[in-house]
Amino acid sequence: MTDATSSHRIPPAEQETGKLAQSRRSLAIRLLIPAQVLLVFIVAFPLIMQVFISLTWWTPLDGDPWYLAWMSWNWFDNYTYLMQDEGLWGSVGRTLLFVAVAVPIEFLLGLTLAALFYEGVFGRPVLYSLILMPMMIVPAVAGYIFFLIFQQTGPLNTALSVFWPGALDVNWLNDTTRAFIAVVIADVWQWTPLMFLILFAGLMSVPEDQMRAATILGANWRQRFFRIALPRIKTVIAIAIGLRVIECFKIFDMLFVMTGGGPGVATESLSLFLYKRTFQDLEWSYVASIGITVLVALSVLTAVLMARVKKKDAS
Amino acid sequence: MASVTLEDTSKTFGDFTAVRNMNLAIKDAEFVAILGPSGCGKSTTMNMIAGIEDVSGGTIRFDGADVTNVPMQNRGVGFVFQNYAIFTHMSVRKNLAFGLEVQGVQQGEINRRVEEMAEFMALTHRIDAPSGSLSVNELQKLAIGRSAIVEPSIFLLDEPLSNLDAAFRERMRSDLRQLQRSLNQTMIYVTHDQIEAMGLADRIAVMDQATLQQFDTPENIYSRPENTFVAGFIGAPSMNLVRARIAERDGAMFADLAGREADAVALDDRLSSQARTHGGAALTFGFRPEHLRISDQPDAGTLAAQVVLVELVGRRKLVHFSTGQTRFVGSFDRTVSLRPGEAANVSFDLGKCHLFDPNTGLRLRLGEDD
Amino acid sequence: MTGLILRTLAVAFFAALALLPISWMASMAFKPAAEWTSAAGGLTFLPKDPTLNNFRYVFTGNSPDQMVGLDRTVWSPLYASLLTAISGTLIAVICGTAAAYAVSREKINESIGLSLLQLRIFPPLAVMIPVMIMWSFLGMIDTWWGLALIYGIVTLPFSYWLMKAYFDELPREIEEAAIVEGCTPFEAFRQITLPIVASAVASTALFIFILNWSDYLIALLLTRKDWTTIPVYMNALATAASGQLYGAKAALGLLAAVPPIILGISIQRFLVRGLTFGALKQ
Repeated sequence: MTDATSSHRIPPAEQETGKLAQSRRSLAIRLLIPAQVLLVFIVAFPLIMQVFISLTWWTPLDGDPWYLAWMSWNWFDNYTYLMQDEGLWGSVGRTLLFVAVAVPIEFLLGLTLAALFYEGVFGRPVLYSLILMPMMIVPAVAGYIFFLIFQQTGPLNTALSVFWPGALDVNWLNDTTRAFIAVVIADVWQWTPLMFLILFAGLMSVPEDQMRAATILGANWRQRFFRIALPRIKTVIAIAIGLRVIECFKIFDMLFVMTGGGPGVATESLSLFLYKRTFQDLEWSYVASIGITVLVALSVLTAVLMARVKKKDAS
Repeated sequence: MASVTLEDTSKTFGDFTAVRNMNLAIKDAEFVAILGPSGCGKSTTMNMIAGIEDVSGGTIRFDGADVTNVPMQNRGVGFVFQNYAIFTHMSVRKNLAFGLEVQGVQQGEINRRVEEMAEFMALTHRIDAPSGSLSVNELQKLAIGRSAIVEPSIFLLDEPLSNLDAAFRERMRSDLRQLQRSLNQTMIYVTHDQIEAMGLADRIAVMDQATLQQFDTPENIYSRPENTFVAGFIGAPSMNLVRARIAERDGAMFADLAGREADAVALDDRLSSQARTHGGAALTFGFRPEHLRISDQPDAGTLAAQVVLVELVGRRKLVHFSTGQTRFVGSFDRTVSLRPGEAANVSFDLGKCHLFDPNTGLRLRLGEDD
Repeated sequence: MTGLILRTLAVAFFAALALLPISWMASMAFKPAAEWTSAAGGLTFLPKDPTLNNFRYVFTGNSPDQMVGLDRTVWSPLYASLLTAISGTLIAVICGTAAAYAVSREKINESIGLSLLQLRIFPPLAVMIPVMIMWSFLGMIDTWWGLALIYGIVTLPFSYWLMKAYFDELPREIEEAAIVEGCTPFEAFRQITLPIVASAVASTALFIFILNWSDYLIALLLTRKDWTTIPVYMNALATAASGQLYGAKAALGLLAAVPPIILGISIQRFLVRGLTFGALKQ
């Protein structure tokens, strides 16, 4: 006798919301699909393949297709080999040295530039664009530019020979120490502007009133900069250095074009080492194992850093 | 201790004039308020005194010495910003110590004075807290303490109390006055709140549209305003300014406020002399709401008006009147019985009323002391 | 005042240092073969005898300076660079914007952001072998779509994080108002949200284009002959017969460098955001 629907009546508005929320959710799910497909296809799947290959002796020289790699299964031989591979560790050490030298120089120069701009200069817009130009140059092209510059009879030596006649005898790219210095100079040239860009943006975000208050209290430039500005941009500094360290560690283009890793292995970074093993020696399964090791190491590192950052945020 | 003098000081930003030919002589150890509506140029004036803004023209002197081109670092003034500009990445202690540290004061001396100031500002219990965690009221006190600790002879405050809640504002007002007296400083205080200015200052500089309107004691600003702006700005509710037709009848001067010649108000001797000397047929008649009376009988000194609205504000009753042509407000005791729609006869406490030139807005006066 | 002048001079000095190497290459690009080395009596900064021969050489394969012609002129690498960079950018921007919107609005699958970030941390060579194998297996080596696909995934982190920051700032109510009027969520996204973030999408796209155009390593690994991009082509430009083609390479370098510089200057204000994955603003 009672109307079956009346006892289950849902107010129209709620019904609407339920449907609406549903359709929004389904849109979101569908919008995510392309990115997820890309990640699975080009990241997840190759990763599995890489692990698979790293446990074998396989190389393309075998002539067999990759999925038959299981025929030369060797468990962890690649991994134990890489632990002792002097070439590998040499390149890692060299890369770390490179980062440890180049990044601080870029930071200090970038900070100096940012401070100069912050205090004010004439023609700021023009100078700003000019200073930024090096980092917009294609890295491979920048590598070539410095290849030209560091030629023994190139412009650098020619210019220096005005002061030191012996300069024209100095060989840069074929001397182990000088080649390293040359690539550091090239990297500093290209990426100091990036440091400058980020640090300057950070300085500009320091509240002007606080700087004024400090000045009125009698602080000079140095006191304002080191007691007010710099402490306030700690996060920005961390981001700038973090970004630069990561990119610098991956360096390939510039070195490959400028020195090819030479002379010998003087400027062979990790990426260059991997390149040579891949294309000159065709030791693909070995490189695969190194790749997995690097991945694991970096993942652990980022996880640890993330945890520390989260802890800091929480406190 | 220092006097501050502005001589023909002006400031322009491109086409826009922020401060126009300012002449201001502030005495040593005086508490001066710079009062005016938004955009009148009061903050810019203060910024020029501090050295935050360069002067476009004219001179600024401290104790006679020309400081117009002295950078803000070296002027030795104290400045409290409207948003306090506290160094939020430092603790309260470090904020207070900053001014002393940059001057190279000894650490022991710094600690002593910091603790003294913290006590004076009632911040001792928070002295090692990060300043970002302070409440608005505490930030205010810290801002003042940070500037005061270096004992500047000239203390500038830019609307320091406008962010505070009303109860706290009262407290801070008396604290500031106390501070100024005990340190014997020249204090210059920018505000748009006239009650604050009237209550705190020895003298008030009223500004409007980049120009100084009047620089005088609160008493004079209230009872002897220079022009219609000052008259209308000061007082809450503000002075009624009504256009009046002036006519002479039977040897006496009359002000017609309602467009009804028969109902013109007879002026007293003082106002009559002013009107005669001026000679114009129309003047602005100014009277404060509190200077209105209700008369039983209409006579030569009263004006017939109708009550339009009655408001209860605090202890007073505000009654809005209309004469058909003009409207004005009267402020009476609560006991007065008037209701909307009623007719009333209002009379004026003429000794406290003023006449202003209708074109220039300047107040009419017989001599310097009027 | 003196401070201002000194600072300006110091900065101008750095600006000059920034410009010198670039202008050296530009100058080399216009030098005839005889001036490429100092063998023929001293090196000068500006060409003594400026010429367009280097450009002629790379564009037509012949030049009065050179005895040996080129097999391939720069036209196809130029086309390759453009096509792959644009396609890669489109892939990254479309997938990234869509994903960013989904995560920002509905808060699902937030870990995708971190995965993408990790992608940028790994050295490419550590993960390229399986990609090369797959690409070879699928016949995508030395194809423009194969290269564009990798470009898309490698720059996806940028488009995702940048657009996510923009969407996070946009209140949900904007779409809700439209949906109340009868739009579907997708229509609301397309007709209301997208126009609002259009300029952000444009800046992001230009930024990513610069990154793709500037790539060397990935193109080196995944192209052989037909679809090499300008940086790869440029570096390989030398034969035993022609010797070191300094001038020609400099001309190519100039060609490759100009688009990113122009685009970079035009999105100058966006660079801080772009380079820090949206963490910092200018």
